[in-house]
Formats: sequence, C-alpha cells, structure tokens
Amino acid sequence: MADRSGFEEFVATRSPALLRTAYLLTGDHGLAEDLLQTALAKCWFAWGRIDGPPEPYVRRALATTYATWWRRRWRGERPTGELPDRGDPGATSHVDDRDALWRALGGLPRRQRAVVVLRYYEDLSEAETAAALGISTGTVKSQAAKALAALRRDATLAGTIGGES
Amino acid sequence: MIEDELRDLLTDRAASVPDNPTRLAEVRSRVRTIRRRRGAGAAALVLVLLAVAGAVLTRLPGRPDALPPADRNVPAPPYFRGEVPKVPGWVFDTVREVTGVTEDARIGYGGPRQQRLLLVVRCPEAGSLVVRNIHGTSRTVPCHRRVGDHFEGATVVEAGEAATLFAESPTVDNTRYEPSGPGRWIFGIVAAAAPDVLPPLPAGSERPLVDGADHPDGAASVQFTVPPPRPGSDPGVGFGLSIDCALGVRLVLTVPGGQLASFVCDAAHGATQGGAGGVVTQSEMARLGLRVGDRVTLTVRSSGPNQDQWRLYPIT
Repeated sequence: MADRSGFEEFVATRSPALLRTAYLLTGDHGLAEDLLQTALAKCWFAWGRIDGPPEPYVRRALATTYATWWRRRWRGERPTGELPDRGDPGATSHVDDRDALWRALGGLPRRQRAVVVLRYYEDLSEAETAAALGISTGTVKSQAAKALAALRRDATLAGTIGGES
Repeated sequence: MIEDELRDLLTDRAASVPDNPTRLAEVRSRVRTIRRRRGAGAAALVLVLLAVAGAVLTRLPGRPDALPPADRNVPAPPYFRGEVPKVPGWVFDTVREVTGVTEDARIGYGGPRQQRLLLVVRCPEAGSLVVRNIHGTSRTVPCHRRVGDHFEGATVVEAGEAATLFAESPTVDNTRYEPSGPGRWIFGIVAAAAPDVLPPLPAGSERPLVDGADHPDGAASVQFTVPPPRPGSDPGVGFGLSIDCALGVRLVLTVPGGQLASFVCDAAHGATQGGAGGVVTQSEMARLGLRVGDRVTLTVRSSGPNQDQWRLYPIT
C-alpha cells in the first residue's frame, strides 16, 4: 500500500492555489473544481510513487487532464459558430478590454490556453511548461507564439492590444 | 505588451475564485468511485479474456481470420502541421513526444469513447510505433509514408476500443510507447467529431430532454423552462445547450420568437467529442423574448444521414 500520509495536508494547503489555475484553464468555477478534483483523485493513486515535491506532479496532472478531458458537459461551455455569442456591436460596446481579452483567451485551443496560463500566470519557464504538459520546449514556444498571435488577431481586440493586426 | 496584459488579467481573474471547504471529502468520494469502477472493469476484463480464449480454442483449423482490416478509413497524410496533429475532419485530442521506449501514465480514459480515434505518428525514419497497455492490449501504428523530410502514419481505433487500449492503472504507468527506431517521434491522437451511430445511453446516465430516436420523421417539440444563468458563468451567458449527435446530423432549434440555434454535427462546424453544444447569450434571449422562468415550446428539426441520431439534454 502506497504511503499517502501527506495527501490530505497537500489538499488542504495547496489546492486553493491549484483551483485558481484550474479556473484560468476552464474559465468556469464549477468546471475548475471538477477538473481539480479529477486531477487530485488521479494523483491519490500515484501519491506513494511521487519523487520530490508533489505540486509539480499535481500541476502536471491538472494540465494534462485539462488538455485531454472528455466530458459531455464541457461542450456546454463552447460557443458554436451558429450562435451570436458576441452579440451586436451596441450590446458589447460597454465591455472593457480585459473582458474582451478574457473571452479571446476562452476561444484558444485547450493546449494553447494551457501554455498561456502556465507561462503567464504560473510564471513557469518554457522547460517547466513543457514538462507540465508533456510536450517539447519547441512546442511550448510555437504554441505560445500562436496563442499570442491569435489573441492579437482576435476581432474583439482590434485596436485595443498592440502588436500584429 | 500583450504579455503584460495577460499577466494582469490572469492574476485578477484568479483572485476572484472562491475556495471549496468540502473538497477533500469530495475527492475521497471520487477515489472510492474510481476504485469501484476499476474493480468492475477488472471483472469485465476477465470475462472478455475468457470469451476470447474460448473463441480461439473453438476456432476451426484453417479457417481464415475474420477480423476486419485494421486500417480501413484511414485518411491520406499529412497528419501533422508542424508537430501538432492536424487531420481535416478530425478533432485534436492529445500529442506527446517519444524518444526511445517511453512509459506514460497520462493517457487514460475512464469510459468508452463513442467515436473513432485516429492514432498518428511522425517519425524521422520509416518504421512503426507500438502503443502498448500494461494489460497486454497494443496497437502498432505504421510510420512509412514520406512527408517532406520525415515519415508519417496512422491507424484507426474503433469506437469503444480506446477504453481498453488506454485503460488507466492505479499503480503503474498505463501506456508504453515502443518506437522501432531512434530519434524523436511524435505521437498524437485525433478523434472523430461524433460517432457514426449514437450508442445506447448507459444505465444511470442523464436522460435527454428529447431524443431523436423518438422522432424518426425529423420533427420534435418539447417544452422547457428557461433557466437562470449558472453560477460562475461568463458575463452575458444565458444558458447552455448540450447535444449528442451522430456524424452529419443537422439540427435547427426554434422557439416561438425565432431560431434559437442550429448545429451541423461535424468537425467543420465545431462538433467535438461526440456531439455539439453552445451557449445562448442574454442578448440573444432578449431578441427571442425569452425570460428566465418562462415555459417555452422548443421545436427541433433534424435532417441528414441518420436524422434520428441525436439527443438534446436538459437545458441549464
């Protein structure tokens, strides 16, 4: 039987921070809690085999679970091309730049969003981000560049964010 | 700089997340559930192995193998854009790098996948990649189609097989990758946007609000109550729609005030992971005259191949 003595203490002390990361990945409080609990439950089974501090391992489980998750209810969060999610210009004119950036972030492919969150919120290096997502540093660079380019290009951000148009 | 804007935005948004004091108890409950499922899964695996053994023992000598070709329906390469799996009509699922024999615990699916998967490989020299589960199941992905300066290949995993191929283990890494040659290989999975035919609803699963199987003529009506926005939803979001649909099914949803939504169940129109879905914004609700708490008649018209193969779930 694996030693899981530190698991409960870890959940008590570190899971609020991980929840914040999960929220930035999913953009929804309920889904973030669901994602975090799924990742923690996975890690419980591996707890006795984790070498060193467990947080990088749990963060990695969180990020990879997010990137590969298959749940029907996630679809409810994804606007389709047919629905006028952005409304008419008059209806959205009051929305400030940050709301626009947040919505644009939500439109990124999951892996790009994960790279953005790990790089710009968790402040992980490219190598640490690559390790957390199980991809190469070259892929991290390319995914980050694509994400930033997509955010700059996003129509809702036209004129509000510097860079490419 | 957009990077600075992002840092500020992410920090601010993260600060707004309330904690959940019952998390530990809920995680314990999930662990118990996973253990129960794994126990049931192990028993089912034993039964399957016994059935397979029986079939092998009773097969007549000299009878040709009746298994269908493994790689039917495999699209033509290329399968990657750069190092990211990209196949028209298929939806990105996951990607990882393989250098030498690699073990990995991170691919794991708790239940059967209802749509086909395409396993894709990019390799420096022609060869093949064996994807092996610790329980003995394996798939060999060929990699001998030249694409530019490297080789690529793919194989189809039919619906339901992925749960066995990528079954998780509670104690050890579940998947082993065995490339036939050295160097840096890229393994990826893309999924069909939807199943060819909807599988039966699992026992105990959420019941649909309306099921296309009950309306084979392609027209259905149902009443629903306009729900309030979900706690924590993004600003401006009214309610969500969640649909299971078979590949190619087209749906048009209308309410008395006009068209609420339309869906085409394929990758080109945003269907992923076995179905489609979307959100109706509050401004769209206002345009259609929908108010929270209203009792409204929803009409669904379906068309396309298998036009009865869709389910609309309770609107929340």
